[in-house]
Amino acid sequence: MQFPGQQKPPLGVVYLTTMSRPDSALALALLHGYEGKREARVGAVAVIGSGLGAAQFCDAVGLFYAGPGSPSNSNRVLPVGLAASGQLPPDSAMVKVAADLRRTVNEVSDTSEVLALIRNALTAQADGNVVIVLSAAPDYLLRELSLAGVKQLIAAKVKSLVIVELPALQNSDAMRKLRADWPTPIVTIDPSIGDSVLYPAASIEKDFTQPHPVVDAYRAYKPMPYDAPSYDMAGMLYAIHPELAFWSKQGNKVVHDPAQKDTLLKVYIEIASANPVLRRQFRPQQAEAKK
Amino acid sequence: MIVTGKALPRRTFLKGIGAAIGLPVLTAMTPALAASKPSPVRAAWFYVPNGIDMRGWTPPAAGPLANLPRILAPLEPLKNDILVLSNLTANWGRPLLVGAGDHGRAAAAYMTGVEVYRTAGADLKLAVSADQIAANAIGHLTKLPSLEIGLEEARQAGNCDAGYSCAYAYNMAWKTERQPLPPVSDPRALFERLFGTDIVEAPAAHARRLAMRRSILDLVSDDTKKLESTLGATDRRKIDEYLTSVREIERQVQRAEKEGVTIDPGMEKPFGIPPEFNDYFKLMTDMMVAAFQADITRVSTIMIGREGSTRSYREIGISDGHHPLTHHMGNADMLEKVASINAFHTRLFAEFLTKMKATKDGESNLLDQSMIVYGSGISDGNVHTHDQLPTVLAGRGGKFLNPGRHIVYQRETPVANLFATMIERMDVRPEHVGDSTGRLAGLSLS
Repeated sequence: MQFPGQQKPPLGVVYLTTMSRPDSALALALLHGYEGKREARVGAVAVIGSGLGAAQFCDAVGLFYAGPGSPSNSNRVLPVGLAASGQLPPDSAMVKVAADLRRTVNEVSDTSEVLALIRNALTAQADGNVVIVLSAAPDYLLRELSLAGVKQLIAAKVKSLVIVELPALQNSDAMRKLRADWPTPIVTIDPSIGDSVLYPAASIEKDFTQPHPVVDAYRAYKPMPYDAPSYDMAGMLYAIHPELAFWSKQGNKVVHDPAQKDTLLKVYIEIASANPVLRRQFRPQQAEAKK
Repeated sequence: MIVTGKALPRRTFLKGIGAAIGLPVLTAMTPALAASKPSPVRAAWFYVPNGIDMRGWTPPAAGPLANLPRILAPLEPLKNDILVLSNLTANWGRPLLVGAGDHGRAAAAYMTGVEVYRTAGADLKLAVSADQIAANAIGHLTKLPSLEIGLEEARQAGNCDAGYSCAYAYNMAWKTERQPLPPVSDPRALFERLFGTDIVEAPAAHARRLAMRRSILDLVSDDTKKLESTLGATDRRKIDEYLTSVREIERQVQRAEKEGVTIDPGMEKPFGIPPEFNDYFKLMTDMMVAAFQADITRVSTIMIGREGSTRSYREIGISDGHHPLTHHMGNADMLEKVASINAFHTRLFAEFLTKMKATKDGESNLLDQSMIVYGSGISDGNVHTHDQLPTVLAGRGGKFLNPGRHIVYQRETPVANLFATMIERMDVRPEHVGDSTGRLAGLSLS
């Protein structure tokens, strides 16, 4: 529902992630960084294909950026989603760092059911003002499309679907079906960006406020120092700022201009390592009630 | 009354001019029942306004129900007959992009699972509610497709909350996306809906009977005698017990008319509501029990109060309005009163369930053959949250539910998933109920 004269809120981002690599943790930091600059806001985060620890980690990151104090309705977004049907995989060392972090997710019932989470998140966003970043199996988005009225909801709300191309997922029947059925533009992030633009270990050591959950995760992933590919970071950055000069298209894929690699890296670092800014909840103006 | 062959049809009525009284399951009906289907499953929804003080509601852990928290404590003797379901959500009750009006949306969104179109005019727009999806499919099997009851006089027009029509706050049952089914709050009207017919007594005779405080049973006495002469002792006793309960309800109605508060003196029929809320609750829910017992309907809703109700509960020493109390801002005295009102409501609900359990239904009892939801579209009334809703599901739904447990679902799980699961148990298979995303797992062990 839209109302004339109402100020458009920042772009809503729905992030579907495995939260299994450093670039996914850094992409989440990027999203929160842009939320702090009021250039985006967290619509929803859902973990697909990983265990409870990944959801705990996303929750801990959200709380970290929300600032000190108890979680309350005024500074929390919807609870982190977790695809929880069947046996959950064991937690990786990277997300196990959440065990020692302040969080609200302790068991599966503290997470959100993914189908309802995505749909409910969309209902809270302005028309044409959502980007979905998919860096996980497409099954849940496909199921989402089959729910009554949701395809129309997506068509109204979602500006584009940004698919982070990961070799294991691209050629599946489910991904082909998703691409065929999706009602809004789809953008694919070529893996060449993540492969060639590596997030520097040095930034982890010096640019972030300490302690920081993303730094903890990065360090826990494998022995430092190492530079990490930036697949999900590229997807997240493109989703929020597709107009930046270093992007270009090759067919329907997004690639980057190698000559501007340093500029791209500079944006990654500046936003991902930005200090937390107390989240402000978007509050709709009161629309004139119909008499 | 028409009896064909040796078996008495399930839908046998004792009839007279102005009366048609259904019957409970009789042994004489058993051959007919055995040849067709087992006793039917009934469903009811009890809606509590203004949310619940969840600190006194949610059991501390998932699994078998142990000692129940304060507000659920009245259900302690029935804890093996109930499921406590946590973390269900009614998303369309939320402000989303619209803003204020949580009470205006909550009840309407709860039962339909769709966006509540904001209007204070006649251009209402909602969806068919879960109960009516069931009633539309199976309502032809009973005298009444469904029964809508309210314990507060229902307003159908005007602006009740931030531009939302009162029709949204006062009605939980919606026949179509534009047509609410107003709940009956007048005991006499409800009584006559259950036991009356379209063929009415002559006005003078009707007035004379009411004035003399004679019973509707007098109208069916000839038919009763005729039927009883064909029945064995057990069935005669069952009929006698049932008619006694109908008579007792009628007496309560008459007592209320004599002593109670007249709620609309402009109406033609004499009626009234009992001055004590617990008597009112009992009278109206006794009629729901009678309706289920005689298979007059299999689907019912009851609004314990309209959403945003400001009723005071002087019976338990609370003269403040319910809704203002729920905006307690953490005030301990107000919180205590809210919890007391919540516990008072669950006590009355427990009495209803006890009566359902004590009422035979074939080889079982009514509670075992039913699925009764007790819940609200708001959890925390202070800040208006529409997730982690208070939800109890009572009964066994005809050997379907496995009660005695607290089930904690993932958050955001639509409460419509519960309703879709319930009505599927009634052999109604809608593709979806509002914003349902599937069926609710874990209600039974199978």
